[in-house]
Amino acid sequence: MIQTMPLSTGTTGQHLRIGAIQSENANDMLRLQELGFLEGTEVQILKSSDPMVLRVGETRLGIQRDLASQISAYRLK
Amino acid sequence: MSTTQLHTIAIAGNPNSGKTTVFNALTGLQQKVGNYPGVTVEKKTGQMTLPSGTVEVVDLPGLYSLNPKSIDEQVAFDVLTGREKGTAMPDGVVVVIDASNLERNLFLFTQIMDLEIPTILALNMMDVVERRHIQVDLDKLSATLGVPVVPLIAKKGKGIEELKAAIQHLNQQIPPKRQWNLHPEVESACESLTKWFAEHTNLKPGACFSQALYILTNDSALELWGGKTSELRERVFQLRESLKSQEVNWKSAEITGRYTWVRGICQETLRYEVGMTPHKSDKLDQVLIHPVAGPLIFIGMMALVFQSIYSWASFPMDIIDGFFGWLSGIIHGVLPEGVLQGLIVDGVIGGVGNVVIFLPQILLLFFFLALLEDSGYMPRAALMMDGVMRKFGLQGKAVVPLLSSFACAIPGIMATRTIENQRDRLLTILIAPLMSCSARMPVYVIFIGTFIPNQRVLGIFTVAGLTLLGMYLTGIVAAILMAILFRKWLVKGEAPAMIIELPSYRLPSLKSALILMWVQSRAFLVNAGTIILTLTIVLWALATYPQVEQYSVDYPTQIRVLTDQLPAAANPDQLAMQIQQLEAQQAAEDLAHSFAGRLGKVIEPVIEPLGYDWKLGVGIIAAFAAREVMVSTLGTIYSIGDADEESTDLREHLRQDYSTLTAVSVMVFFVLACQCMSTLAVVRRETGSWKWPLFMFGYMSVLAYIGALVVYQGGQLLGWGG
Ligand SMILES: Nc1nc2c(ncn2[C@@H]2O[C@H](COP(=O)(O)OP(=O)(O)OP(=O)(O)O)[C@@H](O)[C@H]2O)c(=O)[nH]1
Ligand SMILES: [Mg+2]
Repeated sequence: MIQTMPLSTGTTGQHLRIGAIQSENANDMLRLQELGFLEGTEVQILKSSDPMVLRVGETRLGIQRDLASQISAYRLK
Repeated sequence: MSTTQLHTIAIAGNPNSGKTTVFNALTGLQQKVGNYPGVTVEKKTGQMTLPSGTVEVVDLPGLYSLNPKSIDEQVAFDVLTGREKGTAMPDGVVVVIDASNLERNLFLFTQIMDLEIPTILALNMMDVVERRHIQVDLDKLSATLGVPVVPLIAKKGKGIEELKAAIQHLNQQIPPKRQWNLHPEVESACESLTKWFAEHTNLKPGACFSQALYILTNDSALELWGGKTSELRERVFQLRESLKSQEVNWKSAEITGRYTWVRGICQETLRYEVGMTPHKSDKLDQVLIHPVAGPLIFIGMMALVFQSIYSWASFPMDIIDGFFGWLSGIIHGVLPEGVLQGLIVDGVIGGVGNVVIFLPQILLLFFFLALLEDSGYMPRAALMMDGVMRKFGLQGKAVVPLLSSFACAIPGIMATRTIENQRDRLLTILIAPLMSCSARMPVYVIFIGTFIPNQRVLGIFTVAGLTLLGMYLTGIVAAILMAILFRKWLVKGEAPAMIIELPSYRLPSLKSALILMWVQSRAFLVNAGTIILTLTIVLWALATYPQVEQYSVDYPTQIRVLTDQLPAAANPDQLAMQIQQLEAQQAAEDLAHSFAGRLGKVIEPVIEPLGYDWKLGVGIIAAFAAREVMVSTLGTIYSIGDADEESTDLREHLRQDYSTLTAVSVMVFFVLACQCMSTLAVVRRETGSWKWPLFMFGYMSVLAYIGALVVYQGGQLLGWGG
């Protein structure tokens, strides 16, 4: 079993993999997926205070912590 | 092979990928470019000449996907899918993508490809790719996708000729078929929906399929196409139910399918020679968006900007001022005294000249804004402000429109198109005109320059510079208070979560800043030469006519008598003074008798509590046509009422007539009042009715009156009236 955690609990510099996205807001979820937040994708946390800054591929995104807490993530490896 | 004529091509792609830069290079136009997503928010057209003839080029707002969520994306979507009324679907699309972010950009590209319009892939930002030591296998990319691939460094104009050549052959292209895979169940569900699109739209077969996929997987797309035909809705819901019962994840089927294909392509065509290197932008961001240092740097930067606007501009202003002084001297010598001389010296030079003096300030403001916009700092400001903005019922995305409004509320209001939530967008539109735009600058500077001492504080700042900053802050505070109020009573609801892209920092280009300044100064001078000039002449006429037929004292005779005595007088100084006094009294009587003077007297009771006399009153009323007219009106009125023909110094006059408190009260009025017809017209267009522009005009006028009243009456109570 892999241990999952909300993406919002990650710390600066950490590399994580995206698990499921459970946003109540369908549009937010779509937007995130279109930007490359898909299950299994690697993200790096560049800033962990609110709003968070994440790197997905070559995209840097500022997202609100509230939203990040609806994304589950797990450690690499 | 179908070789249709190439009439129109569209330029599409992810936000901030360089579409407008490419558009400008192709058409020779100067549309606005900047380093943040959402610079272009409406479609712009231009012409491009090819050996085969002229082609119309359409620049579109950026898109993250063909599922539009905001108005700017909707504009691009409508053009690409032929939904726009009266506009045919483009004959070809140039998809400009940021090659340094290939994967995400290709995602959109696959969606556009599915429209089956002839397509070129323009791989922009190849300089960045090279700097990061990434190799792109262009041939393989082109072969895999089945479309021409043109590498570009649009900013330097590299590859533009090759792009033109590719466009030339665009009409011979046979659009490639879809190559990515869907879950078979989803695929067959889509096929049954495809027929509806074939019957109801002009879309190509492949595009019908992809639209069918969108409405199956996405509610807003469903609403877009089938909002009214409940038959279609029902079909979709049935299909979803049956997919769900088979435990198929239909929601992310499309996106996963595309990304899987795209990621494979990236793996095969990209080679990182030194691995993924950390970006310089990330290092800069450790400081610039640091929770503590970031906001401090932001505030310090803003203070510096306003200080420099105030102090750097004084030198060129003196030159322009000197020029107009010299010009009116010459005209005095050349033209005989009379109506024409009065019109030119008092009306045109006294009025318009007094406005043109402020060109340097306005240019500096635009220069700094251009640097901010081009560096990539704007979205960071939005990011940092998001938390604070939410406390006031706004959101971070409102920051870019609001910052743009410091130049002018019109592009600011246009920029709100990037805000996805319509209530948030309306709220931002309503408060955007409270940001002090460049048209207020002349009013601020003339009153600050006259009444506020230029004493140094804190080393680099001056009281005058900080007062200027204070005016901007007054507008911001008022905007915050109004936002809280409106959110509570008018546009209720929570702002949606923020997702904002942070582009890499770029060294701002001096050239594009200078081009922007050039475009702006042209616009400013044209404005001064047309609207302001016309209004000034009208005002000059209103302040000159009707002329007095019977003075209370026979000034002309008395003056003539005294002037005749002058050469032989024992006390010439005293005599000269007497003459001057008589002249001043005559001029004052002239003014009071004129239409403007009478109008002023009528409104005086209303404006008196604000500390204004009828001259300021006339200026303020005239300024409802355009704010700068305040300064030209005062210039004209004083110039007419000027006993001493040589002096055109408006400041001298203001200092004699008004107190510092009145000056502050006038400035506060200008901060808060909506004195701009064009803003109201744009709000009408963007909100679709007169309701909101009228509301805006109403609330801002009330706010301005109350603000000025509080300043003046409060100041007097505190004993600052002197
Ligand atoms: N390094 C580099 N920068 C570029 C290149 N082309 C454009 N830029 C810069 O990229 C930024 C975005 O350019 P725009 O042309 O405004 O991009 P856009 O796609 O029109 O953006 P939106 O209208 O916001 O969707 C600007 O700062 C440009 O100067 C390029 O080839 N190399
Ligand atoms: Mg653009």
